[in-house]
Amino acid sequence: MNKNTSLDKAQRILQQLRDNFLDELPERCDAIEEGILALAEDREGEHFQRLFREVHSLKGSAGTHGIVAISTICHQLEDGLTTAQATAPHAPERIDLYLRYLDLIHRCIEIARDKRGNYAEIDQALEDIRRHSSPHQLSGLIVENSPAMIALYQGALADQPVQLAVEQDGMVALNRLLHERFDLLIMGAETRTLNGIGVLYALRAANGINRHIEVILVSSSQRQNFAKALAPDVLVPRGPEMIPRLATAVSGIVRRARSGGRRP
Amino acid sequence: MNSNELERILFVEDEADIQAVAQVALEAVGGFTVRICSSGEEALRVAEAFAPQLILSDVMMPDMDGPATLIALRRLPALADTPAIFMTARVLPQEVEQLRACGAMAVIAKPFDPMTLAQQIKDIWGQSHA
Repeated sequence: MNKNTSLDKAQRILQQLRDNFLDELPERCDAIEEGILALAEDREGEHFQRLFREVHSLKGSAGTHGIVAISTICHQLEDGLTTAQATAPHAPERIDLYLRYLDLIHRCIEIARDKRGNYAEIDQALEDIRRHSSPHQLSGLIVENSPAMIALYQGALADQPVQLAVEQDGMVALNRLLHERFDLLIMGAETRTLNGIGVLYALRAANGINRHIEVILVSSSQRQNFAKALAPDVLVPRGPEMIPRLATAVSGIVRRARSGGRRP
Repeated sequence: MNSNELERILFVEDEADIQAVAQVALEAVGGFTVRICSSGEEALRVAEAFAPQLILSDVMMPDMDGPATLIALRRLPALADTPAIFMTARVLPQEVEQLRACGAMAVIAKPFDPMTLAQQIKDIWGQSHA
């Protein structure tokens, strides 16, 4: 068998595996739904662990089959589950929220079967869920290599009405920025795989949902040369003034968003 | 076959979906002979008889995770020096360094592209056997 024939065969098998995955997905969704509904009575955290494993496993499988939208939904569901488990009980409105994520996964199955490949409505629905579940909060993404710096940022912004997600790898962050809506981005300059400047340029150049969000770049350099259209909105130098300047910059973004000014 | 040419891979992964896709990626696309194990325990049972040239392992697995599996495999005399690659969704620098410190020669990010995974492994193998 020549190489092209062999590759064609491999692609056919991969397509069949993807179809099988989609066929079995409703059953996996049922298991997740049972897990979500059981959270209300989950005194020992046993249901939570099982549910988290199911969601995590689905995230990995969907990514392996190239269905990024389902991975993104699972990622957000994981974030929501983890946050609630650490800080608050899974109240009925949280359970409803988790079930909305599940509805989106069902919708992804339909889109994937349609072979339309257009998941834009899923991005919008994820954004709607976020705004509905946290109407007074903005959504921010911290992209920073150093755990110590991340802890500093989180501490400095703890009082701000901003829900912060964290990524340490530039490419992973860029992927999230292309598929999930954020209101602001806090970038360290040195991140793995793709550095902060690279993420910023790609974000501004791509015609994505976050193209115009406000970006705060934290850098050890006091001055940097940027093409005008690609410059960060705020450059915060590392140093003793870093934390207050970061807090001030984020306060400004929150104020503008609330006054109906530039909506990131 | 060149004695340096990679042929036999022991693949340790607990997720059935990922096993299936990786099998296509490694066998049909890459032309390797692959023994798939669903757990570290299974890998320990079959490794010596299979005599892999390369261990390719997931990191996050129940019971025995990837690093624990690799440490246990390395206690088998026949696998004491067998090169290993981890596959993980967590590719943070300090985590990658920890995995390398366990004896892995490389870390491949998940999700992987099934059409290029084999070449990625061949490249890593080629660099370490140049």
